[in-house]
Amino acid sequence: MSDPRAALAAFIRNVMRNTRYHAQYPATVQGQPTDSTLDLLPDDTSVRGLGLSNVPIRHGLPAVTVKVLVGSRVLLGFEAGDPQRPYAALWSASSIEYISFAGGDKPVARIGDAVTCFWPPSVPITGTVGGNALVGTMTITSPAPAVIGSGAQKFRA
Amino acid sequence: MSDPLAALTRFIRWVMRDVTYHQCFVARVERGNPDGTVDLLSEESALQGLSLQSITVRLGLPEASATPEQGARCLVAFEAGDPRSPYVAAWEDSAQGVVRMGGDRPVARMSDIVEIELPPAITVTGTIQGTITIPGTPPVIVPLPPTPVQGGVVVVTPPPSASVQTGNPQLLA
Repeated sequence: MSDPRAALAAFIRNVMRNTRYHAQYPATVQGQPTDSTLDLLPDDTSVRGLGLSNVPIRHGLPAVTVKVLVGSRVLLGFEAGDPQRPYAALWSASSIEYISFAGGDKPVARIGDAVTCFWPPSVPITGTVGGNALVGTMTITSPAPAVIGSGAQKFRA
Repeated sequence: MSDPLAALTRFIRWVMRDVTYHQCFVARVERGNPDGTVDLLSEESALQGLSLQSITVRLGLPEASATPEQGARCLVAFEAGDPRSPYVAAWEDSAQGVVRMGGDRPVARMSDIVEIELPPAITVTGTIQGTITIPGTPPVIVPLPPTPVQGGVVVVTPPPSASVQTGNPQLLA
């Protein structure tokens, strides 16, 4: 005869089986089919199956998209505890190709980054040449280099 | 007479009812509030009857704040599984809005325009060479050998333009 306590525990676990999908599970990125979805392989064999394809990404900031490298680590969760509604969120420190804000595609500039200055076609000049007054114009054909000198101290890239 | 297993199942679910709010639920932003909270709407049955007004937004980075646009879709979670303590935990990829990283100035990007501030007149001392064009019809162009300049003044009108040429390729905006 089976242990009645074990039988009751098994019954309770069966009744509450949906709570398995309340947890978040570490997983490895196997691919990124689109900007907003991932193919994942969870570590936990109880939710692994054959891996999960096209899992939507949820971000800690609105208006953000990321492109990550295969092998990155992320947590797998389930909306409303529903195994049919997986999502990926909360990244481990890992390599990325890029992070994009608001759909932008230009690299962010930082202190020290290069700036190229383009001069107007003709620059007035006055002065003295050989003791004589000089009034004229000069053409600066080469753009002038410059650098960004200040920025937000708390936001670095 | 009711099925004793069904009755036990209901009892267990009643005892464990608090785990309902261990889950995350989908909602969308109805409006953002000046204090950084948001009012939400949700069609999830577990959220019906709960107040989804003035909900705290927890962001994935410290120092960050955000003003999501109306309709932005998000995940709602609950502190300690308490339905009285909802918060926004994550955002769908399509959610739009303004993100602030401790400041309120737009971030400069590669190829963005830079405004150059020069003094009204730049004093030049050194040597110039090139050509001098004497106005006329036709203009006369004469070579200017290396010539010392003392107290020369350059006035740049209009101000020069500039653009940012480099940036961090892993953070795009």
